[in-house]
Order: sequence, then structure tokens, then C-alpha cells
Amino acid sequence: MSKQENIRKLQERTEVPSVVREKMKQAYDEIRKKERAVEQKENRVVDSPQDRRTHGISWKKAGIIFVAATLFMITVTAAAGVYVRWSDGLKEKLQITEKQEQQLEAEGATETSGTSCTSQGITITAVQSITDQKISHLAFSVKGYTAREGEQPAFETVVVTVGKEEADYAGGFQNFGEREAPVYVKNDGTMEYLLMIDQKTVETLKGKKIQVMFENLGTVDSQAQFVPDIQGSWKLEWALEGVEQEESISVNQKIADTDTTVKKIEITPLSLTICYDMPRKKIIEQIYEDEGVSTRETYEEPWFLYGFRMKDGTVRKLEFQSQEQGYEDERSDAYTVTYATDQIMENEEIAGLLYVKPGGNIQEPEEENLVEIAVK
Amino acid sequence: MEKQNLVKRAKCGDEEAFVQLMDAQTENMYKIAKSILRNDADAADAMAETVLTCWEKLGTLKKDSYFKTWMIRILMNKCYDLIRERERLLGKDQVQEQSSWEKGYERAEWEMVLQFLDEKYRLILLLYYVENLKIREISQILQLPLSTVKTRLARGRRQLADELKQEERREKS
Repeated sequence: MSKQENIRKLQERTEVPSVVREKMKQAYDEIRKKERAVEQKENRVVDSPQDRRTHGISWKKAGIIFVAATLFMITVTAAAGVYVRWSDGLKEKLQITEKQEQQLEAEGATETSGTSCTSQGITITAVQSITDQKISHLAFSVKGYTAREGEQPAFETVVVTVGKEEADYAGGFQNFGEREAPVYVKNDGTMEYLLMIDQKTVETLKGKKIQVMFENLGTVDSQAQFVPDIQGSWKLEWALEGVEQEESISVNQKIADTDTTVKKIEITPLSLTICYDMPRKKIIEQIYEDEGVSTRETYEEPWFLYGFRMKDGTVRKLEFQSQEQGYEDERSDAYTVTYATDQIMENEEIAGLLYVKPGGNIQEPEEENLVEIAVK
Repeated sequence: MEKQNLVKRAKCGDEEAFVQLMDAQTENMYKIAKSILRNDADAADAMAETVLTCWEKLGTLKKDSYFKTWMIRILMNKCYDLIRERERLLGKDQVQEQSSWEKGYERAEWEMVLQFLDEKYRLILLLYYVENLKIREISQILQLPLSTVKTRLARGRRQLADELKQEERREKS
């Protein structure tokens, strides 16, 4: 027998005896049991009313607040009465008033899961979520890491999974200061990371298991490149609480002298969908690439939606966080645009949709370049 | 799934990732524990203790890539803790007597190979050939100078060869 043969024997697979396997299984079960107990304890945590304070944030972003009429039809649910720890970042991003806070809480549209993960001395906690069937806004507190003044903090990788599917998201650390003079660290020394999920593969986000995995923390340099600082990963997992509300308003009006008809609008607390009947018109679009200019055949899009005419006559501009549009299928003229709004929608005050005529300034259109489609 | 990814997930409290990670190590852990403790029941205790300690202390692991050497160090400490505890309760002589390879037990070939070796070579050969650790890593785990690990590895191989020759001679006669 050679030496190599004996070394091979050392390396050969061996059957682990049942007494060992059983003991290992007991150890794993003990870990699982402990984890379940910790999770249950975390899920029971609710914040005190005193924690619902503001932090003297700069509120300079102009905004319009729309509250879906359905939000006022409050029904007391199991979530009613549970205190939610409001994220400063989400309140600023979605321009939420105190009244809206109460309504969202009472409806169970928002929750504080309190799930947290600590690694490398940095703790990430799921502070708050606001969820409807289409969109979810999430806020995470990041404690134990402070970006240097003037530097923008960032995670190298963020992976969001809803159910078993990886979800589309937009996310970043909330700037509580000005664009030119950003402030990422709050008075309590924490930072907030905000995520918006737009999940199309599930019927509703409400009740779905969500997993958010953050990897490596650092900053973004002037070339928009990630500069690593802390290597680590933080995984948070919980079930999203939320509401399923949608109001559908029939419109059936043509836009000016075009052959595009606004059929209906659908409003959820965090999204707006406009359904058109729009006969296809082929256009040739120029595409600018490294190799030069090429062309492709596509279809005309609906006019640019600027915002709403309110019942009091004022104009309110909408800023959308994401937009998805297209024909429903290859043959149909049914065209749908879904916007994730950056405000809680309130449809009872809306008098009409405002479109910008082709060629008009889409940022600050003149009144004569706006075309109104009455919705009620 | 890559081991380091499992370590990352486990560090974040994903117990199923941790179970998967440890499960993949069970066989090699058993070989190490058995080579030190020489009986299955004690090996099982030391391994279960190692699982619990690794889970508890995983957050202190500085680099994910150190997981294997870190876990083996914990396992070895658990094994030696068990031996010390036995010695305290039963006395050193009795423990040494009991710690011979289990009798009446049909040993696997790898165990037969190990029993030819002195204790000080046994672990080094296991860590080198079974765990595929580098000499530097073995020196860190066993807290021995690099030169000592190299020497013991060479002597262990030689002893293995000598013992095998003797065994063959015994079989022929």
C-alpha cells in the first residue's frame, strides 16, 4: 500500500454516525427555536407615542399632498391603535401631514416591523413601510456608521426579494439638507435609507414576505463610483402590512383634437394608472449610440401629463418616482401608464388631468399649453 | 451557493444559511473530533457545542474567509475542553486509558490510517490532507510555528510510511 493510497483513505468520504447527526440536529433545532423566540419578541415591539416626534428637518421641498378619498373611509382594522414609528425620511419624501399619519396608521397601510440586523457594529432596522397593492415605500435606520461631511453614503449592493421574486426598486440615503449642502446624519446620529418597491409579478404586496439584503457600506465619489468602507452584509426579513385600495374613475374623453381617449384612471394611495384608447401611430425614432445614430420604429406616446387641476382652480404639479407604460398587447389599442407617485393621492379634490401640448415646456408650461381633461 | 455567501447570510441571522454552512462541514468536523476524542459520543458533544458557539459568536468573525479555520479552532477547543473536564472528574490516568480507539468498533479506513500516527502528527495530517488547509493556516489553528508544522507534516508522512511497511510485514508473516 503506497503513502498516496493512505492519504486518499484519509480523504475518503465517511459516514457520520447517527449519534453525531442527532446531536447536530438538536443543536440546529435549538438555534432555530432561539431565533423564533427573538423574532416573536421583535415583532411585539411597539414604540411609545413619545417616539413619534419630528427632528426639526428642513422641509423645503415644494410638494402637493393628495389623500385618496378612500383613506378617509376609515375602517378600524387590527392595525388600528398600534403605534408606528414614523420615518423622518418618508414623511419628507411623501410630504405626509399629521392627519395623514393618523389615517394611514388607522387603515393599517403603514407599519413598523422593527426587524434589525447588526454586523460590523452597524445596525440596520426596518423603521417603517407604507404599502398598497402596487407600491411599497420602506425606511431603514442605519446606526453606527456616519458618512463624512459632504460625502454621500451608499450601499454597494441592495437585493430586494418579494415572495420568491427579486423586485424592482429605487433606493438611496435620504438627504435631510439641501442638494448643494447635503445632510445625511440626523440629530440622533442615525441615517435613513429609503426604498421604493414596484413589484409587478405579484397581485398585491400586502402580506407578502419581503427580504432586503444590504451589502457593503461606503460612499459615492464625484465620478458616481462606489468607494467601499465597511465590508458586511445585513439581511432583514418580514411580512409587509398594507392596504388594498383602488378607486376607478371613468373619464372617456378625447385629449384635445387627437384620437387618444382617456378611458379611466385608477388611483391607489401610492400610484396612479391612466388607461387610454390610443390608435397606434408608427414613428421613426433616432437612437444615439457610440457607433453613431441609428433609427428604430416605435409608436407615439400619450401627451405629457403635467399634473392636476384641483377643484379650487389651482394647478398641482406631480413628480413621479417611476413610470411604466405600453400597449396591453401586440394588437390592442389599449395603452396604460402607471405612475408611482411621490405623494399620497387624494382624488376627491381632483377636477381634471392636465396635459402639456406637444412642443410646450413640460417643466413650467404656459397656461395656454395645458390641455385639461375633466375627470368628474 | 458559495460558502462565503452563506457566512454573510448567517452573520445576518439567517439560521438556515448557517445550518447549510455547518452541514457541509459535518464530515470533516467529525474526522477532527474523532481523531482527538476517539469516540463517537464525545465527538457528537463537541460538534454540537461547536455549532452553538459558532452561531453565538459568528458576529465576532472579522473576515468571512476565515470561517473554516475559525470553526476548526473552536471545535478543537471544545474537544480539549471535554478531555480536561473528564480528567477533572475521572483523573488523568483513567481518561488516557479510556481514550484509546473504541474497541469492538469496525473502523473506517481513514481511522485505521490515523491510528498509526502519533497524536501530534494526526491532526496536522488531517488538517492538511482532509481540510486542505495551508501550512500557514494550520500553524494559526494549532498555534505552532510554521517550521514546526512543516517538520511534523514531514515526520507524520514518514511515520505513516514506516507504519505501513511494518503492517505489511506483519500481514505477510
